[in-house]
Amino acid sequence: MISVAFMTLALAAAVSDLLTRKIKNELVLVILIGGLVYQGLSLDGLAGAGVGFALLFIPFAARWVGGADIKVLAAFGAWLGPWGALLGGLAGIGLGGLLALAMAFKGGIGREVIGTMKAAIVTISAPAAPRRDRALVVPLAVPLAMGCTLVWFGVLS
Amino acid sequence: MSRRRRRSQRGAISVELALGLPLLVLVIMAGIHFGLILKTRHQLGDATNHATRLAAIARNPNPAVIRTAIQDRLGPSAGCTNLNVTSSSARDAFGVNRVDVTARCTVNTGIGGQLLTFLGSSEISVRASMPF
Repeated sequence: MISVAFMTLALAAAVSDLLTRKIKNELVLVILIGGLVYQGLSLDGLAGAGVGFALLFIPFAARWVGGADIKVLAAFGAWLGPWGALLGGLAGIGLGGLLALAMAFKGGIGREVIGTMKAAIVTISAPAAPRRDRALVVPLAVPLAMGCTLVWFGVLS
Repeated sequence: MSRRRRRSQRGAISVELALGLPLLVLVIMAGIHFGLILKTRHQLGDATNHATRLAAIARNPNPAVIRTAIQDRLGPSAGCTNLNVTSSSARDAFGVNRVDVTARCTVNTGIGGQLLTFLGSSEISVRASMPF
């Protein structure tokens, strides 16, 4: 029953991000409160949210990731606790990299992306992010939700 | 809707940054992991020196006793599991007796332990020697 609720919320966040590249604050709030209640309003839920927030804080402050991504990871972190939030976040970020690779080559910008990554490695600086069509922007909440779901069902522990 | 509000609910990231993010996170995690391993190694070194000195004073190079002394000095919260102690006593060129101790343990830092094991074994080894 709780797993169904978790899956529904994860799916809602992923679909919202996939379709609109946006996640409403209301949905994030529901996920966060659900997680805190599931943890029995204990310190574990808060710590999990904190870990999720901290994991993406530097890229968020550097404007690499959107506000919704960091908030979604913090909200799912509340469900998973600190250790689960760390695992789920890392898995999500890793899956995000794979998704980005797949999208780049499917969208026909593989060469361009490899070029910018090479330039970034040579100059040891953050890769420049050219403005692209919405369909070529990676919805990070999708892999994040997947990573957290994997942790939820104990695939990663 | 203001620009700021739009950014705050944005759930998207450029392809390049999505590729770079795992690398950035991996480097940060590896740094933390490395730091914790060094901290544990430092603690094990201190505990092994302490236990070796005790063994030298007692003139007893029994590894089981030395292991207990190391464990006591490390405390229960040290991230050092599978502690393995070997010891021997010898007489050096000056005719002085000494006890040699080697302590090995597996570091369990709690962070990235399973994720970073591909970087190599996290077993640390410390040697100590004390004349008596």
